[in-house]
Amino acid sequence: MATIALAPPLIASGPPGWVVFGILAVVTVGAVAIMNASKQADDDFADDEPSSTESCPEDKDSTSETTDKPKELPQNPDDLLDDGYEETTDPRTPEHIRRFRNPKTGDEVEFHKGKPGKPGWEGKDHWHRFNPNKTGKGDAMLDKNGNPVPKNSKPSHIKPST
Amino acid sequence: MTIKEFMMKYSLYGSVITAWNWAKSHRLVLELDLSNLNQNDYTEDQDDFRPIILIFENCTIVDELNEGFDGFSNGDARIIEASTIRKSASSTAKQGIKLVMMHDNYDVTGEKLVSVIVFAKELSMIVPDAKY
Repeated sequence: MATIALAPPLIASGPPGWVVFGILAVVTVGAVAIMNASKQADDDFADDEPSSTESCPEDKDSTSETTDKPKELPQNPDDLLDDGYEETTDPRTPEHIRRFRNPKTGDEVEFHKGKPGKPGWEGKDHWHRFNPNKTGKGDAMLDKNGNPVPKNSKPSHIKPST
Repeated sequence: MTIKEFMMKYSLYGSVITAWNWAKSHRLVLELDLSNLNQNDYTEDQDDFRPIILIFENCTIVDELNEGFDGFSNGDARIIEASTIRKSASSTAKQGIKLVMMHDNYDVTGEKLVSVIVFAKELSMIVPDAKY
């Protein structure tokens, strides 16, 4: 814009003004070209650095209750009480069985203490996890990955975490 | 067979009673998914369950929780403990099975604890599936 404004007096001042006008014109055209190239480069090669408002990437090793993977179940059922679960065992239940519920997540599980000398799962510590969306015995429990499975089926027996 | 003989041969732990029927006044007919997983002879190639029918003759039951349990017409009951009981108060000793189970109607009430003793003079077992 300044070059255009200065053009009439420079041209009117004769050959020296023409030379100055020519230099100014070349410098102006060059500057415009450089600015356009810089703007194009910004558009084509945008910076990927995270801004301060971007959320952190998800922690793949997280055991947070908000993840889809069900919580692993402990060898000692009392450990669940430290994780926000409440014991809901009917006091008349045989002592080898205890039931727990997490009031925040709705997760409901049952611990079976193995009886020495008994065959099969009756002789081994294990858990059952109940399907909150059950429709019948065919999907009444969940396997270790949280998938619906038949009540008391083999995959419904969940080994305590080691 | 006698109850004792049955209990010596089979474990009812982990099995699911799918139907509870009184036929005549003292004949109890139970349909079960017997858990193969908890039998002494279980092998990995077997199904998890085998359907069986148990018929208790001259049967009476005692509701140990005094809640009026006499059976169920809806849902099923998973057995969490089963043991043999012998009642010898009189000269005619009776054998029974104590069943502790979780009955589920699949309604909003959730599972309910049931504890009963099934006394019977004789027990017979029918296996509808011939492969067992």
